Amino acid sequence: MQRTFGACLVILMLACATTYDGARPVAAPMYAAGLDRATSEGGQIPAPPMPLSDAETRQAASAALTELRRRDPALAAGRIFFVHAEMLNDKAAGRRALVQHYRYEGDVTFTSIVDLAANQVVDVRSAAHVPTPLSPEEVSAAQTRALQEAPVRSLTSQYGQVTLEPRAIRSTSPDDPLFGHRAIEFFFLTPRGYLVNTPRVIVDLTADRVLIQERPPSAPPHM
Amino acid sequence: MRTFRILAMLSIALVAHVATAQTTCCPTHTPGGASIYEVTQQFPSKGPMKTAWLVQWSIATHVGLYITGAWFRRTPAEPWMRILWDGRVSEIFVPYHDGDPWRRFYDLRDFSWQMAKVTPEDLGCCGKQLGDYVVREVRDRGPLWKDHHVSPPVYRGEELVLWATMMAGNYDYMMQYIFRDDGSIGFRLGATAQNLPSAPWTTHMHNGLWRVDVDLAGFPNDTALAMSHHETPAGLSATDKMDPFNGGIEGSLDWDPLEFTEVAVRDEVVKNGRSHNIQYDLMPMRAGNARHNGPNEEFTQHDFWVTRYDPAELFYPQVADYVKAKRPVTNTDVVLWHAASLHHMPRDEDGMEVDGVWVGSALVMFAGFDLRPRNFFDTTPFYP
Repeated sequence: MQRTFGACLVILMLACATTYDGARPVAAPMYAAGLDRATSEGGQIPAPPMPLSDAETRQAASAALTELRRRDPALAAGRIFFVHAEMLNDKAAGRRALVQHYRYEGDVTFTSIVDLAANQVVDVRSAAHVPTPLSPEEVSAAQTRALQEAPVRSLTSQYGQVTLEPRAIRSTSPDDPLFGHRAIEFFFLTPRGYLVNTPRVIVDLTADRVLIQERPPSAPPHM
Repeated sequence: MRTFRILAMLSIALVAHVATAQTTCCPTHTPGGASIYEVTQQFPSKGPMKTAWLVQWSIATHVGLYITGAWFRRTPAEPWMRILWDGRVSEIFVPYHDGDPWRRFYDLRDFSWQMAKVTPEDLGCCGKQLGDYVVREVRDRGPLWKDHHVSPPVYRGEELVLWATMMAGNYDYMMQYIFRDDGSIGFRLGATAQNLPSAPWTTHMHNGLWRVDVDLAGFPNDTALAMSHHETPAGLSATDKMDPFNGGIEGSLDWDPLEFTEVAVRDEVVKNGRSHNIQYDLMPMRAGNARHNGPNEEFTQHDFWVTRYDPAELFYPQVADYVKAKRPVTNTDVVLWHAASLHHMPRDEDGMEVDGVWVGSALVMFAGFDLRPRNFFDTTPFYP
């Protein structure tokens, strides 16, 4: 047994000698990370900014909406949704959040900057017809609406477990009936993969309607 | 029985050897960091340090993985110098070529995609995990230089890579930030996974649209430059220019393959030991220029944009509006915007329809660019 082990050890050492480069002596690292944070500008590297907490997100969303209503009650009236907040990697002192609200009337997105420590909105801008996230409430409402449609019910009964996966539609043509609308197309994901050649199901949240397009069989154009 | 024992022990020895060899071949990850959102890496990864990066990162919905600060050490004796305030994919614009007005997707801002959790396969042999979503790798990147006049005649470079994957419905987007030993930074966007279920064979473009806030030694005193090359018609000479970008005011620029167009950021105060102002060049890597002509798609009409820093200006599709202010971009705080596109013509290798379901993943394609230092060192610290 000992002889066997010895033989194995010799074979291992011979093999290592041919390919193993980790045994080369190396000098100890001269630099230990974290000990020195001095910068060429004369200060210290700050701690990394943390993502917004849930509480900060709620605070920022609330402050931004309050400010929108204060500045112009008419502007913030109507169907307005909080859609997004993120930590603003800003150069101003203090922790800030960038917040977005979407208003259906006019297809307008409001972007606010909130000083979290002061709970104060320091900047508000608006833009129409720009990419803007869907809120979870909108996606949920659209899914509910789609599931009421016969072609969708047919797919769910045919394939069993089907997830309705949302894709926002942003029509770019002013002549298009969906231009300026909040619209979602759904894809159908089964445990085996995405269904292809299904009817096209689009929920127009702005007009509160569902568009169903029968899809012709796709023929792969080989190039 | 004895033969069996010998074979068993040999097998164990072989496995142990392979495992040991893989581990020791991996570059060494420098430990430390104020939190998981901070990474330090010295180069070379083994042995005395020559240069080092300190990188801060974050993850947000509608942004994915992004850089919230990056500092570089040119020598062990010098303090950290800030290079980036922020670097991110600002948007991924994906128009399909069938003319369908409903297939022009803004894959970051229009959706609330989640990030993919890191798996052991993502990490490979040498990677480490940062939180749930980010892979940290230190890679051997091959020869940094080769020179038969000196001994040893080659130096192998290394790089720190942070990457994460956004699960964009049928697609996966891999966002990579590469911090190299020589001070250069790579920005990459990889597109992979499954073709669009409603149009799996329709050619389309994945436009990677980056916003990069380069702050050399801090944020004031930076000037945006345009660099170009011009061959003399019917002559043997050529001229090379480095001018203020767009005459020194906010604007745009097209990439011209005949001019080797680049943009750059130069600090007007800080100089290297040879009295040259330090600078970083944005070096494109591209197969073509994507131009899209739908309404509100003016941002695709040019390949480079430069704006003066404004914290609320984060959205690439609005960059054509941002530059209308015509603010100066010399000796101030500037932001670079750059588009690099992936032209995806579906092919059989992407997958196929089987019993009404799509089966297959499109192999990853990468788009991106590099930021490379110019006159930042007195000379490269890696030679010889």
